[in-house]
Amino acid sequence: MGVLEEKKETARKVVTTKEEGPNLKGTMIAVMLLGGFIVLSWFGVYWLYLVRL
Amino acid sequence: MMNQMIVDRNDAKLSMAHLYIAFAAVLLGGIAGLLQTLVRSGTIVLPAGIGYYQLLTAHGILLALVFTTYFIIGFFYAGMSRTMGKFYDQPYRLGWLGYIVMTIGTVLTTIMILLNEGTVLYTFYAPLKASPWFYIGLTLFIVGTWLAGGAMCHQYYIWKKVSHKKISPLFSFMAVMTMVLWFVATIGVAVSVIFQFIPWSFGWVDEINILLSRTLFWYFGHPLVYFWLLPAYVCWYVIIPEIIGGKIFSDSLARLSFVLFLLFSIPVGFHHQLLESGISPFWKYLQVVLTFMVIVPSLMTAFSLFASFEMAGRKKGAKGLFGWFRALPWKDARFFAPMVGMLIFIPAGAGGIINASNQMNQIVHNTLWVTGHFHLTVASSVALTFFGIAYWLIPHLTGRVLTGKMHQMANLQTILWAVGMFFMSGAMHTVGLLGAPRRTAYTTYQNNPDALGWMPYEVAMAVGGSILFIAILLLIYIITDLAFFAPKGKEDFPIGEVAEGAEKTPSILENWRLWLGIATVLILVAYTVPVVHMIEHAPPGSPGYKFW
Repeated sequence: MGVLEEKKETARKVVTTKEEGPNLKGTMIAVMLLGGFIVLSWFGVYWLYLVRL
Repeated sequence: MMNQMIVDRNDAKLSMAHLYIAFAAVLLGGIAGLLQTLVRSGTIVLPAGIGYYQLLTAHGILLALVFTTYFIIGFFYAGMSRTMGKFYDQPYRLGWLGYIVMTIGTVLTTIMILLNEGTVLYTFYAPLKASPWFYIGLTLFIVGTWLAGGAMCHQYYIWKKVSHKKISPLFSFMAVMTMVLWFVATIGVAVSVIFQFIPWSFGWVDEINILLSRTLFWYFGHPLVYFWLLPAYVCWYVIIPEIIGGKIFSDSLARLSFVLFLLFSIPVGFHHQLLESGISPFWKYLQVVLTFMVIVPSLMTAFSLFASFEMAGRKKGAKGLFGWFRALPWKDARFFAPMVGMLIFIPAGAGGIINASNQMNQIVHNTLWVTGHFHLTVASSVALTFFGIAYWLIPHLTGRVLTGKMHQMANLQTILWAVGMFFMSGAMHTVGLLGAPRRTAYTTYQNNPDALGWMPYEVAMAVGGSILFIAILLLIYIITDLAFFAPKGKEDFPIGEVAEGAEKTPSILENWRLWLGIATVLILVAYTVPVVHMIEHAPPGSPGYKFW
C-alpha cells in the first residue's frame, strides 16, 4: 500500500469513527448551562460582598 | 463466588441490620428536626425541660452521622456481595463485629444526648464540654466503621487474589475507595477525641487547644461530606444507567473521578476555618485552591451522567437537543428519587463553591445559608439518592418486590421532600444572606428590626420542615412495607454495564499505593506547617464550658 493510499485509508477510518460516535450535543450544552449557573451564583454573592464592603 | 445476580442471604442479613438502624435514625432525627423548626419560628415552647440545643445535637448526630453511615455500610456490603460474590468468612465476621461495636457506640452517644450530657452539637466544638461517655460513644462508633471498612477491604483483597484480575468490579472499587477515604479522614477526629477531648472531659488535663481541635475536626469534617456523597455517586454512576436502560459512559472516567475525590477532598479543611484566627492566610489560600480542584471530578461526574442519559434516550429514539431528557423513566421511583437528588445537587454545588471562596465566606459564615447548603447536599442530594436505593435494595434483600403502588407512594415522597426542602432550604439560604445566624433558638434579639425581618423566613422554614416531616412519615411507611409486608418475589439489584466502545480501564487506576501516596503527600503539604505552628505557638488553652 502506497503512502497516499495509506493516508486515504486513515482518513476513511477517521470518518467512520466520527459517524459511529454518540451524539452528545445535549450533554455538552447541559454541562455548559450548569457551569454558567455556577458562575452566575458565584458573581451574585460576590456582588453582595462588594456592596457590603 | 463470582458475579451473581442476587445478594447472598447471609450478606443480605448483615446489610439489612444496618438499614434498620439507618431508617430508625431518620425517624428520630426527623422528629428532632421538626421540633427545631417549630421552636425557632416561635410556634411552640419545648416541654419537660427538653433543650433546643439538645434537639439540635440529636438531629445532627442521628441524621448526619448515624443514618448516613449505617446506610452507606449496609449498601456497600450488599453491592460488594452482588458484584464480587458472597463475603468470605473472615470479612463477614468482621462485618458483624463492626456492626456491634458501632451500635454500642451509637446507643451510648444517644443516651448521653437524651440525658442532656452531650449537648455539644454534632461538631462537638471545644470549649463546649460533654460527658466523657459521649466522646467514648463516638469513638466506638468510629472504631466500628473501621472494622466495617476493614471487612470490605479484606473481601476486596481476597477477591483479587482468588480471581487474578487487575481490575475489580466498578461498584466494589468505588465502595473500597470510599472506605479508604473514610480511614484517612477519620484519623483526624480520632486523634482529637483520644488525645484531646477524652483526657479533658475526664479532668485529667485542665485545658484544651481549641484551634488544634477544630483543625483536626475539619480535617475530618470535609471529607465526611464526600463520604456521604460518594455512595450517592456510586448509585448515579453504576446503578442509574441500568435503570434507565442505558450504559455507563466510561468505567475509566468513573474510577478517575473517585481517585480525584480521594486526593482533593482531604487537604481542604481550612475552607471551613476561613474566619478562624491563628491560621496564616497562605495556608488558607492553598487549601482553598485544593478545594476548588474538587470541582473537576464533580463536573466530570455531571458530564458522564448527562452522557449516559443522552445515549439511553437517543437509543430509544429521542430527537432534538434535549429530547432524551423527556425520555427518562420519570415514573420509576428507583430513578425519580436519585434524579431529583442530582438536580438539587446543581444549586447545592454552586453554594459550596461560594462557601469555600474566601471573600464570600465572610457573607455566609455561621449564617443559616450554611444550614440551607448542607440541607441541599446531604439532606437532599444524598438522602433522596439513598431513599431511591432503598426502594429496590430492601425488597431485593428481603425477597419482596417494589409494587406499582409503592412506586407511586415513593414518587409522592420525593415530591414532598423536594417541595418541603424548597421552602426550608430556600428560606435558610435567603435569610442567611440577610445575616441570620445558624444554631440559635428562638430569639428576637430584643426586637431589633433586622432580626424581626428574619421571622417570616423562620416561619417558611417551619412550613418546609413540617412538609419534610410528613415526607419522613411516608418514607417510614414505604420502608416498613418493603421490609415486612410487600408481596414476596424477586426485585432486581441493578448494576450497569459499560458502553460499547468505551476505552479499556487502565490498571493504574487501581494502584492503591500510588494514589494513597499522592494523597499523603498532599495532606502533609497542606497541614504539616500550620499544625506544627498550632502546637508550637499554641494559644492559651481553654477550660470546658457547659451552658445547657
